[in-house]
Amino acid sequence: MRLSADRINRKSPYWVIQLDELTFRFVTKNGILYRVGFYQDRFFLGSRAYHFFIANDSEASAPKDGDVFRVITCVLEEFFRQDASVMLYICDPHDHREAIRDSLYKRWFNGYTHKRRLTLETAEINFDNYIVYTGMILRNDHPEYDELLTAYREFVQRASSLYQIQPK
Amino acid sequence: MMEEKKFKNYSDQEFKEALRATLNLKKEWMASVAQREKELGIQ
Repeated sequence: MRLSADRINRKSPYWVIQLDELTFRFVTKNGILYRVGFYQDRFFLGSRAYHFFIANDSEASAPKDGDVFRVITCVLEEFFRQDASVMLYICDPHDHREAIRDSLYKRWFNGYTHKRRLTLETAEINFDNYIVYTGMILRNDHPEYDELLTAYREFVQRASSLYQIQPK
Repeated sequence: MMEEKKFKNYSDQEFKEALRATLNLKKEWMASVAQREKELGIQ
């Protein structure tokens, strides 16, 4: 899979630089550098699923900037151009802002113009004294839609037998 | 056989280890991005 910065930059409010097939960086008007990309899953859903990550270089929380949201939308739209795309996310718990990140994913999904084309499945895993917020997004016309949804739910069920988990 | 079913074959211990490894993927991704930026000469 190779995503295209050219296509992203046609709509993106910030100029996106491509680092490799699945990774980009951009700088906001506030001078915050963001890196965003996808990383192949190795453990659960296999090579057809990718973890989505975003990181900025600001040590404090970055100022609110709706254009960052719009860039992310452009990147995700590029990812979901392909019908066989499966995106996984795990909200980074390192600074205890994981619930906020989870709500941002849900806000993005619920506000996304073309959300009817996609399915979002989420779960919260009570893992070693903290909650891990996770989700999977795939296109409704994914050729293995039912199998992947079943696999994700089985993964959640399996985790629930090992940890306390709250499927939503 | 669907690859996404592979976690079904994990023992409980393997499943937990895979979950932990998955939680560390962001660090791995960030290291790979830093390496790529170095290769491209981008700071």
